[in-house]
Amino acid sequence: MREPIIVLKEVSKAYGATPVLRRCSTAVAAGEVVVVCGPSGSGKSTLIKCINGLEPFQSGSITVEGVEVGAKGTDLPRLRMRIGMVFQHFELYPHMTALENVMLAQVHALRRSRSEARERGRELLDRVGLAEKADAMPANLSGGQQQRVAIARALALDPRAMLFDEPTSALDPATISEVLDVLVELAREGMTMMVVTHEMGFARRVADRVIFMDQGEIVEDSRKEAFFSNPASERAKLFLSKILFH
Amino acid sequence: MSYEFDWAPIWEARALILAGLATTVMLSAASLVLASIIGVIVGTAASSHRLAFRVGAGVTVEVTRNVPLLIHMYVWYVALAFLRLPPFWCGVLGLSVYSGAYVAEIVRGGIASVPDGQGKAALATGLTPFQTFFVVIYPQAFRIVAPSLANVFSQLIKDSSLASAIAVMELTYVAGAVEGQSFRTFEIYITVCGLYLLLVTIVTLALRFFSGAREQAPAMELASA
Ligand SMILES: Nc1ncnc2c1ncn2[C@@H]1O[C@H](COP(=O)(O)OP(=O)(O)OP(=O)(O)O)[C@@H](O)[C@H]1O
Ligand SMILES: [Mg+2]
Repeated sequence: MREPIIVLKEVSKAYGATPVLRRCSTAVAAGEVVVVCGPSGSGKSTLIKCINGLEPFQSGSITVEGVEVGAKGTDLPRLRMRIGMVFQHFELYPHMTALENVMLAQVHALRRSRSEARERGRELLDRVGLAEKADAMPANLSGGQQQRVAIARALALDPRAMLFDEPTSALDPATISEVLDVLVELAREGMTMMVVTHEMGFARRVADRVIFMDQGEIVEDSRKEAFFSNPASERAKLFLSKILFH
Repeated sequence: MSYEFDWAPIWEARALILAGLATTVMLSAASLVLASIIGVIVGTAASSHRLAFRVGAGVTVEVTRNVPLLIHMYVWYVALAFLRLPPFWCGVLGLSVYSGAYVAEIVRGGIASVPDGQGKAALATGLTPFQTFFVVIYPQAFRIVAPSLANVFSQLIKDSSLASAIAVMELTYVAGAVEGQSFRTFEIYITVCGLYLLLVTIVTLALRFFSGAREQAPAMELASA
């Protein structure tokens, strides 16, 4: 077993009296690709936002490379530099060019020089196939292009792991594949990834494991093959039948 | 009966008028800077997720805005009498605190208009909350609220005339003095009106320029300076 990068133990969270995460436990090893799926409102986004401390949780523990996310003294900015995050709605900074989006955290968080950040930024834009869009403003890019810039922005910090929250669900079908291709390549290169998605084709191709959530609970956490051929729970069976054959 | 304009006494008092103009410019500029600082701090507190900050900021803004500016001037003048602060700085304090409350409301609105995900995205890349505000949230909010800010700032310039009530020798105070000596009422007030108009126009154009310039120019050069 490779060493785990992300470890969740009995993580629970509630908004007021409404529980959104119930005793969630799992671990993600270096190089592993874990797909998280489940019905709307099941807590998938909340779960991955807890991992980099964007959402607080009330009990249990999360560690990233041994560092306790919820502990008082934890240097969250430093921890977050080591986990890239990609959002459903891209969240590019609209007042900056694509390249500046990719440079910003390198300069302010990693304290790289501007020229170094620019060089690395261009390299990454090239890698996601957008070298010629470096000076474009986000508003002038398609959804698929914006999401690829957002991926480059996250990669610019040389993270040890990447979190994706439905990276393709705000895209029109024609551009979904251009973003998935980038994800597949990342996975092939050995990036540790946790991906919330309903793209089961993607899951079949690159996932090592699938986590299925329902009502704040991790209902299944199994090898990809086992999950698709023989899900253990009725809820997962029902969910799969709905999204695979609709 | 027709009024005969006579501008000669105004010209003779030019040194005094210019000194008044200079005082108005400095009074307004100092207050504008201080009001912006107060406004950003209080407006940011008002957008905090912490209830105590929101309540504190809300109460501050309401109380400050509901006291007439002239009273603000007197209060600072009297309250700081023991410090022997020059009237000029009492005027700056009165104006900044009063206008700062209006700036705070605008800042709060500006921050609210920036989508929540922007801050989350910035934090997720390891920026500190402070950096997140300065390079991601404020620049976006600024472009949205620039027209409202221009209104408050031109109001501030006009409001600075109330400092004459606490004997700050700014433009309005000087106008009164020149009128008292020369009795050229229309001439002096026309002159003063023109000067106020000029100041307000400069500030409005400057803000329009800065908020527009960011749209074209790479914004990070400014942000990371
Ligand atoms: N700020 C909030 N206040 C109260 N409840 C919230 C808040 N944010 C999320 N929730 C609730 O928490 C639950 C989990 O939300 P979450 O966004 O994690 O679900 P999800 O699995 O990502 O759903 P989706 O597939 O729609 O993105 C939902 O029931 C949601 O209504
Ligand atoms: Mg979600």
